[in-house]
Amino acid sequence: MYAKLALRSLKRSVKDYSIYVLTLVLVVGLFYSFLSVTSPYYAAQLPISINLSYLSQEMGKLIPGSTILLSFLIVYVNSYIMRRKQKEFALELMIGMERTKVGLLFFLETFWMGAIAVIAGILLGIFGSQIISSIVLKSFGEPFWLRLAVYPDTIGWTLLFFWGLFFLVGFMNMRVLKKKHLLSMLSSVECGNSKKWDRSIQGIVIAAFFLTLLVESLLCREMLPIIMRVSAKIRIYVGLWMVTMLLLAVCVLWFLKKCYKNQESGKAEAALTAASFVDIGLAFACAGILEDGVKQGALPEYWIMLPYFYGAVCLVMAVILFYTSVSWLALNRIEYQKTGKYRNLFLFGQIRSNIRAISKTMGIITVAMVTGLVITGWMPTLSGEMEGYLKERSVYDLQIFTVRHGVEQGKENKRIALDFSYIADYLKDRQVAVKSEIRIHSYYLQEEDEQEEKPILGIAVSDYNKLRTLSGEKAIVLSDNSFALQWEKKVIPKDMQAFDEKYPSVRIGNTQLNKMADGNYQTSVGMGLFTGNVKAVYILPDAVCEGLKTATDYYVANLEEVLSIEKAEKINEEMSVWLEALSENRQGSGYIRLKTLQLNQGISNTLIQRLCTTYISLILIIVCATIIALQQIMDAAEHKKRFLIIKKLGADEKQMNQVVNRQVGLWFVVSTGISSIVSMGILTVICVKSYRNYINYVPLGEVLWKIGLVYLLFWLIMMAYFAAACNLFKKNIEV
Amino acid sequence: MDNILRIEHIEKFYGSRGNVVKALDDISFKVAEGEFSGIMGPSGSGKTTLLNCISTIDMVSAGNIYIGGKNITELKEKEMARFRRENLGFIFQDYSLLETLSIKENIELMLSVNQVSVDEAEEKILKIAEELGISGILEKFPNEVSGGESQRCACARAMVNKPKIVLADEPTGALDSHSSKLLLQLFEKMNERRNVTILMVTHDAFTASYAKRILFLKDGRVFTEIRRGSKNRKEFFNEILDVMAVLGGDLSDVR
Repeated sequence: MYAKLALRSLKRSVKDYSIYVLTLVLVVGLFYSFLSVTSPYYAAQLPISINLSYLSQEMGKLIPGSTILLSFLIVYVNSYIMRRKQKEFALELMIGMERTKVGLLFFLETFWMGAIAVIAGILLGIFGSQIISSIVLKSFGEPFWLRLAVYPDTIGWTLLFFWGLFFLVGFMNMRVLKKKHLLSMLSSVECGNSKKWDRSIQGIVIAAFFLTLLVESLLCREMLPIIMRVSAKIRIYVGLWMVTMLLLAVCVLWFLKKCYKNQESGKAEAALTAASFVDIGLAFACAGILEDGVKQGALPEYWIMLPYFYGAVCLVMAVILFYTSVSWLALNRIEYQKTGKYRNLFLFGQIRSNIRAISKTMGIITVAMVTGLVITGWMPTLSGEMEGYLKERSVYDLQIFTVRHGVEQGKENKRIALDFSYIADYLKDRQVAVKSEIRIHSYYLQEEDEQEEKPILGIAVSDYNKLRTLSGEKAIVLSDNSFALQWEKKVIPKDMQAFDEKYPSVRIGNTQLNKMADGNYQTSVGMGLFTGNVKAVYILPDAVCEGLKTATDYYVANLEEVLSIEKAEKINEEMSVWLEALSENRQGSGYIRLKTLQLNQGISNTLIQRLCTTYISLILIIVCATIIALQQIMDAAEHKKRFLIIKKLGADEKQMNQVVNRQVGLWFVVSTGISSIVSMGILTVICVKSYRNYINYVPLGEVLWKIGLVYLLFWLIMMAYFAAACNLFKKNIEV
Repeated sequence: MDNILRIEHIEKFYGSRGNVVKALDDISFKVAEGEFSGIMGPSGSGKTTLLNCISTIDMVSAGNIYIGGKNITELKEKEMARFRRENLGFIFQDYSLLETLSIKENIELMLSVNQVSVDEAEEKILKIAEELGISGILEKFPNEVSGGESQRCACARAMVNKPKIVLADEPTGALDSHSSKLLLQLFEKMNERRNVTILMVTHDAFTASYAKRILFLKDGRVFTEIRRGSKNRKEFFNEILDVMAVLGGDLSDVR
């Protein structure tokens, strides 16, 4: 009986919630699609060379964890429905229904909606999982084939997760309903937006205020004693930051005073927004300076993260306040723009009536969308960089190398010599057939280099050529009395050129060597040559190396057969134990790298990053678009009368459509525009700052193309939601 | 005087097969230009249905309605909105003011919908506000003024664009007696000075007594019609009460 009643009630309000149900279907579909690759049923269908256990383990935690974001949407929609239905609940209570039954009826209504969405979402997910599967297989270099992705465990987890979420929210609703007074339900006024945002924004502002005071006092305590010892540039930056923080604190007090007195606080909000943005810029500018201070031991370690954390808190506050202050400025401008206001009077009234409440929601939505856009926009480049680096370091089947004698990463390491014959015997014992192997050393150019923190080492050209040959590259020839350089892949030509200009020659003992023309190489020669965070190795004539002190040993082999994961793990474990035993302190003596494991872990890591960030961003953007759309649809449902009035006054269909499109479009365009601009700014900073890390793996054109694609997809999603919102809005105001 | 409104044999049915209700049954009457007419009748007599049909909000099932010589029953959906905003003025029981706009903006809205120029609009608003005594509250919002002031604002909105006819649906229904009296005096004044044609639906005899002519509806038909003529308002009020007694209205309808 109750189920039937709930279903009928749901049918009545279906047009209000259709966009919410659509989002639920999409989110469940995404959840199922991404989770399906963690299923053992899926893994069983894969070739044996692919081991997804690490990927499954990590994604199994990350996907449900990030879907918690959806609970905000569910809670938002439920609280709205509850507000609208208060009178209905009151009526049910008055005719003698028990509170538990009223609550149960409401729970069933929302549960029906969720249950239908989850089932539809799973069906969508079965198709969607093909796309995720094709990404996984492509990453591992395997061909894609269609499969029916119906996995009982994934279905079970999806049902358990979402139905659990609905049960939890339903239970909370029932509790709220139990505590509500009948009288307050009866006298409830349907209002567009609750006042809660006002309190929450004040909460954020107060939090930012205390954080500002904390950072300011910490800076005073830790920077002032050393302020005269640092450079003038640092003094200026940190000084400016401290001054703006004080300014921000004053603006916060002004804003809170206005809030307390319940006065129009447009000016205070605008001042606080401006101060926040300046403060954020200076916080990020000082972050690098303070990090250097930490590295030099002058400042505590928390200064590495504190400026970023502070900047993030201020950014949330600034974006939220930005909307209110811009709205305030815009409304003031419109007041003076007589004709513009006169032609759009109704729209003007609509915006003015809920601008304060919507601004705060919009601010939070923008922060979420910016996060989503930055993550998705940057992820393809980061993945490209990771994949490029993976290819570079996993060029050989087996690599074993020692770390150099001296100081490395603050640790004292003693010279460790690799017993190459032990390795050969070990491999023979384990029945690992070696196709070709190389045993080489790197050398200190000067005796005193041994005590240096980051000396550039050298290798004999014959040894270098062996590595090149094994990598499938041609050997090089050094001209008389010359040297060349092998660089790490990520070093950019500009840096190599700068080095060439600074060090055109090198003196080793009594021999002077000059840089060979075109003597910069970036061939992939594995990991053993760059062990101490040094990005280059000198390639020296064999004769010069004869008298030099050995720094590290490097064993490289290509095998007859590809190692299985199990065998590779076994070798890795045993060889690591052996390597550790070579060192006095049983650590940091050297490393073993097996291609099979490198590829599996590397690809899995890249995949986890790509899939999870794409998933989180999609959820964020979809949830945000849904909230913007729902806000407008709810406005239409709650204030239908306003539209009826202008219709009665003689507004024709064209004018009505114009009003609806402008009202709905305004918030979509503003939120999409601002999040696009802010995220583009952040992406530009990242692009410039990490240019050196990615440019040799991912060309700039490709970076921009991929970012462009992300924005195109984002705008398409927003347009789709805008169209749906307009449509439902018009249906809601129909007589 | 020309007839602004001419109604010929209109009928209105509600419901579907097997459950048909006849809300209006062969109603015909005329309203001349500058006439202040009222429609009275007990609940369910068809007053609001008739007003809705005249205001193009509802469609008649049969018959014709002419406003300013134009047969509005033949208007297409698109033409109706245009016709409504150019020829009709509305006053509702609940004022129907947009709480999002100030009193001035609410009046301005009507002119904006009609695409009147900004300067002309400003002039018209100030003039009508002066006439209706709401100049002092123009910048206020509907929730900041009294019911009487709100209804005067609605009145200004209805009349500012000089419509052919003003349709008032229970305009004093939500007002106290003092505010009602003030509003009705304004109706009289606007009717006399501006020659505004007003058609008012009411179930209240006191309100109806301000009109010059009353049409009584019963069960969807015109039961009778009375004219004030040279009678004073008190005499006309008594006459209305007499008709109501015959009609079957109870004493609560009589003030």
